[in-house]
Order: sequence, then structure tokens, then C-alpha cells
Amino acid sequence: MAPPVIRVKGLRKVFRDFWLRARVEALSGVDLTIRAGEVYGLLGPNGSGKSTTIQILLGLIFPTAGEVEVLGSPPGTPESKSRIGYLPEDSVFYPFLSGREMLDLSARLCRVPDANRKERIEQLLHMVGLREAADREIGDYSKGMQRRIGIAQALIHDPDLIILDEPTNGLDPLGVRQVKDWIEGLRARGKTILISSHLLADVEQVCDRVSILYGGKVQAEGAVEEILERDDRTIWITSRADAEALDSAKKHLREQGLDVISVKPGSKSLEEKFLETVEEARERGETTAGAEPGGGLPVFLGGGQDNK
Amino acid sequence: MIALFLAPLAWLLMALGIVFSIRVLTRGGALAVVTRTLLAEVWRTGVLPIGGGILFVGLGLLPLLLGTSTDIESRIHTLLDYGQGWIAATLLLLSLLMSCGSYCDEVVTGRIRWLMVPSGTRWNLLPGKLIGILVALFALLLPATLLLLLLVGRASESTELLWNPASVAVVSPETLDVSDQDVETYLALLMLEDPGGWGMIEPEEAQQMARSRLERRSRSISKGSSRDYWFHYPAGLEKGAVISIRPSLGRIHRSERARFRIQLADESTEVIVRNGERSSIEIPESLTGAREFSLGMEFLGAVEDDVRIPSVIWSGSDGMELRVPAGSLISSLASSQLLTWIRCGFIAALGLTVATFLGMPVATLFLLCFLVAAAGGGLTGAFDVAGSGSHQDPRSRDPSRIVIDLLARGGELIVGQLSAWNQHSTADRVAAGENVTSAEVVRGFVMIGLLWGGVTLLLGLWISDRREHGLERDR
Repeated sequence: MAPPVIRVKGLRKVFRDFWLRARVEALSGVDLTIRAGEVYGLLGPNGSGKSTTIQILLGLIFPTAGEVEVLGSPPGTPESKSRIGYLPEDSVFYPFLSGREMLDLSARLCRVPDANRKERIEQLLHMVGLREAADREIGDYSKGMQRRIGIAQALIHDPDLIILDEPTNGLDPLGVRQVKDWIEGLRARGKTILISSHLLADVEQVCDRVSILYGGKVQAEGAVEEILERDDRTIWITSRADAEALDSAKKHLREQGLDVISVKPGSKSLEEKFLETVEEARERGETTAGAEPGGGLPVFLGGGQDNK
Repeated sequence: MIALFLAPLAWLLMALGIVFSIRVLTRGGALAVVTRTLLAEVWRTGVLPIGGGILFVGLGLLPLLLGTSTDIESRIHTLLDYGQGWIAATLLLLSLLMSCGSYCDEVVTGRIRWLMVPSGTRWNLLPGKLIGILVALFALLLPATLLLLLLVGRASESTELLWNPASVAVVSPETLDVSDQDVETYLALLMLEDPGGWGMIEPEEAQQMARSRLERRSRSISKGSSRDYWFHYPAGLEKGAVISIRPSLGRIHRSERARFRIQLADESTEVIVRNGERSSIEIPESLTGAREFSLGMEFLGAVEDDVRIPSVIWSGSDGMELRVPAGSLISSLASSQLLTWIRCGFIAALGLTVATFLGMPVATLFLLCFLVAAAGGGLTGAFDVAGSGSHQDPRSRDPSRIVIDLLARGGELIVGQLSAWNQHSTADRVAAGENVTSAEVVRGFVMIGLLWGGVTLLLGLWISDRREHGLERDR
């Protein structure tokens, strides 16, 4: 079993006011273990303690009680921080910097050596499809473009642990699919990824394990297949069947003692239709002021890059 | 009107400086990139373009606003006085805005959470921002000073004034200063003379009374008597040195004249001076190069026979002084402006530190209060030392009184220290034609820049490291 990258035991956090009176207990006894190479989802409604947990893991706020270990060190130490990539929930980047300057800032703050800084920036700009818009100020970017530059800055120093707070927030379906592809690629290269998100479908598709927080406590935790498994349903997907074949199948199933609850003709999902339409427009040579299609994971992250 | 047309040139020079700095800082580590980001912020968000515009247009308008005096010296004095004041005030406000505004913006937008994650930010955020502010201030200060010099050059109708050694070093006579040892010796003599009187007074009160008497004596000459004043000038006197005196003959003789016999080296001359007006006595060539000399003064009384003036008093620190040509107006102005830059740097360090725990409006208010306190306003006279004539408060031994006294002394110490970076002290001297030396700049850099600024910045770093940068806004 891979060693734990994040280990949290009995974590409590009480927020206090100016006079040190307890205002709210955001976390009350959270236990988490995230292993190397895992994609882990942190789910929960607003105010459930997801962001507080992430802030503590990043060393931005201090726990009231409990044990926390990130990459083998206490949170907030230079050793652990230097191996963490972080995408904040809101796009908080300097609006007066260009995309390229923003990545340069992030790279230099993360002490990326001068020798490969420029190369990494160009590879990441290519990955997130912002090469054409790289010299525009971030303030002029759309929300989705800001999210893309945020993802790029989180990866610039090739971190071992990547914490993504609402990574698909503001992205179009194409961007969402790309983010999922990047996450898959990073997982394949042994990176540990912690995702906090409200978009449960996205989390379900990419996460190995999830925990659901409510009231500052972990209410459910486990592998996605395990916690979503229903022992009273079976779903079959078959090729298109005519009415006669359907009746015959239903009859056979009833003979086996099974209830047929729902039978639907096959249809494309809206996401599939959207992606097809955009792809066709691109093939016709239509241009956009927004992000380009983007590429695969950069070479320095172990990817092959040019898979647009 | 030409002055007004020079303002855009100064603005362009500032713009070039900033753009060049931003370009140079594309290399380097975390500190350099934080500095570069701050410069980009203050440039691209309009703080510097607008602040610089106000500074340079204000300077360009000065000759129009101040009118045209026929007296060249007066024109230059006014220009230097108001020009330096305008530059210092604008730079101070801008350093306040840049320091508090920049850090508070990181907190308000929540960017501080993202900034504090990379390992390079921890020790580089505040110093990097401070260096950025210093670069921005310098980019403003340099063209502003050049513009002021151009205005002064135009007002003087000759550039000779700028380059020639027009500044002077000012030295007070040693005889006017009363040392603790002088007081001790004098008090011992008084006790011997009158043990019944002086011996009965509380020691502290007796010392204050003795000091007061000595100071009065050292600063006055009664009619018919003479006194020697010793001057010490280690660099050696230069040609053109003068003794400048401003005698006080008493209120009732305001418009009267008095006669003095002056003894300098082997030469003896008689001079006539007016009450409260400054007069100069040229130092003879035989004293050129001398490191110390004495000035003998005999007070001969009033010029008019029917006026009786009992004594003359050298009141104030400039009652009598030696003025030796030293440095040029340019070097003096440059030194004074460098000190202004150092002071603004300290304010920026303080602004950044305060912004680590206070929000934008409160942080600015805090600093403005600090500036008012530093300028002496509101605190002047708050820590008066009891005079020799005052009575001892019977409650002085109460514990509460002792605590209050200690607090007052602490406050006095702080205000005394703060006055070290009072801008007027050097700007006024430049305007008055006095020399501000490079040694003063070094001393200011060490005391205000390194010591005060350094301690303040370290405090800010410590607070920033110890405080939570998380969800305070959401909670």
C-alpha cells in the first residue's frame, strides 16, 4: 500500500472572534488518510468544512486540535509547501499581469530554476490553450480562461500533491473534459490530487475515493464504486432494440423474477452534442477570442504534450 | 510658463525609470518577482502615472503660484522651501497609499491565501514590496529633484549658483553649550559660597537652577564687559567664512543699534548691529585653515547716547554661528532629498507592517496619526520638564504617579526619536543655504532606514508569519 501523503486525525478547528470567544466550530474531529497516487474528492455542502480542511493542509490557518501531516511534515513548513500545487476556489490572480507574467510570478515564487522556467511556461500555456492570449492582461480573461491559467500555475513546479478547489468552476464542457483528462494523466504519473467540488458528476468520474463532510465531520468515506453501489438495481446498456426485441427481453427478465423499472431509447448527452458542435466549428476554421483547444500534459510533467 | 512644459518631461523620465525597472526585474528569484509585481501594480493601476502627474504639474506651477519676487535670493529660498515640501508631502502620501493599499488588496481579494502557499513568499513578500515602493519613490524623486533644480536655475538667472560652493556648514560656538560637568563644577562652587542657601535645595532642583544660570551667563554680555567664544571646525576654515550674529537687545530697544568691538586673530574691529537682525563678520585671511579659534566680543552699548542697553543676549540656536562655505546647492539638495527618500521608505515599511493586521482605512488612519505625532503636533509641550521655579508635586511618590511619569518619559523618548526624521529640518536648511552633508545621509540611512525600518519590517514579517491567512473574511 502506498504511503500516506496526507494524514489527518481528530482535526478540530474553532474560529474565534476578536475577544477570543468561540464563534463557530468548523471542524469537529475529522479523520482523513490520502495515499500517494490517489485522486481524492472532498465533498460537502457550503459550510461543511471543506475549505477549512484545505486551508489547514496548506498551513494558512492553524488547527485548534488534532494531528495533521502533509507529505511527511507538519502543514505550512517550507518542505511541504514546496511540493504542493494549489488552485484556489476564486480566481484571485493579479488582474494587471498578463497570463505569461502570472506563470512567471508563480514559477519564481516556487523557485523553479531559471534554466527551465521559460520552457515550462510555454508548455503549460500550450496545455491550457492560452498561447494566443498569453500576453493579454488576466483582468481581460473570461472566467474559464482565468481558471485555466490557475490550473497552469498550480502545476508549474511539478508538485507531488495538487490541491484543486473547484477546478471546473467556470469552465465550458470542453474545458471540463480537458481537466478530467489532465487529472487522469497526472494520476497515471503518480501525482496525488485532492479535489474539492460541488459538481458531483465530475468528482464521480475522476476520483478514486471521496469523503462527504457535513457539520465539520466526515459522514461517509470510501472508494467511489463502493459508496455509490446499489444492491437493488442493475443497469444494462444494449444496442438499439426494436419493440419486438424489447418485449421479448422484458418477458424473459420477468420470468427470472426481475422488475424492469425503466427502458429508454438511446440518446446523446448534451455534453456529447456540445463537443461535437464545437469540434465541427473548429474544423471549419472558425476563430475565437477565448481559449484554444489546448494540449496534453507538458513534457516536464511526464506527458507527451501535443495531443490536441 | 516654460516650467509647466518641463513637467511632462519629468513625467516621461519617471515612466522610463519604471518601465526599465519592470524590464530589468524579469530576471531573479522570488524577491525580484515580488518587487516587479508591485511596480507593475502601481504603474498599471494608475497610482504612479496619476501621482507623478500631480507631483510634476504641482512643481511646474510653483513659479506661477509663488509670484515673482525681485530679490533673487528670496525667489530661490521660496522655491526650494515650497518645492521640497511639495515633493516630500506627495511622496509621503504615495508611500502610504502604495504600502497600505498593496498589502490590504492582497487580503481583501483573498489573494494572500494563494500567495502564502509557495515556499518563496514567506520571507519575500514584505521586503519585495518595500523594495518596489522604494524603486517607485526613487523614480518619482529623481525627476522631481531635477525639475526643482531647473526651476531654481531659472530663478537664479545663472547656473553658477547651483554648482559653486553656495552652501555653508554651520557651527555653533562651544562656549554657548553648557555641559553636565560645567553644571557640576558651578554647583560645587555655589555650595561652597552659600552652603546655607544652595545646600538646602533638593539636588535635582539645584542642578536645574545652576544650569539655567550658566546658560543665561554664557549667552549674554553686559555693557562694558567682553567674552570669548570658542569655535571648533575640524575640517579647517576656508576663505569666505563668516561669523553670523543675531543679537537680542531686549524688547524696549527693538529698533536701536548697538556697538561691539570684535577681536579675531590679531585684528580688532568695531561693528554696529541692529536688534534682532542678522549681521556677518568676515573672518580674516590669517585664520584660513585654522581648526579652532576664539572670537572676542566686547559690548560697547547703544550707538545713541540717550539709549541705555544693559546687556546683549544670543537667544536661540542661531544667535551666533560660524558659517563656512561647504558643498554646493546641488549636493546639499541631493542629500536632503535622499533623506526624504529614506524617511518615505520607513513610512512604507510601517505601512506594510500595519497592513498585516489592520484593514485599509484603519491602517491609513493609524499611519496618519503616527505622522502627526512625529511632526510634534498634539504632543508638543506634553512632556515639559519641570522648571527650576516649579514646585514639587506632593503626589510625586505615588505609585500611580510614577507609572504616569514613566509612560510620559517613554513618550518623550519616542517623540524625540521621531523628530530625527522630521523633513523640515533638512529642507529648511537647504532653503536657507546651509549644507546637508553626506555623513548625515549615512547616519539617516543607518538610523531611520536600517534600524527603524528594519525593526518595523521584521515585526511585520513576524506578524505575517504568525497570523492566519485563511477564512477570516468568510467567518
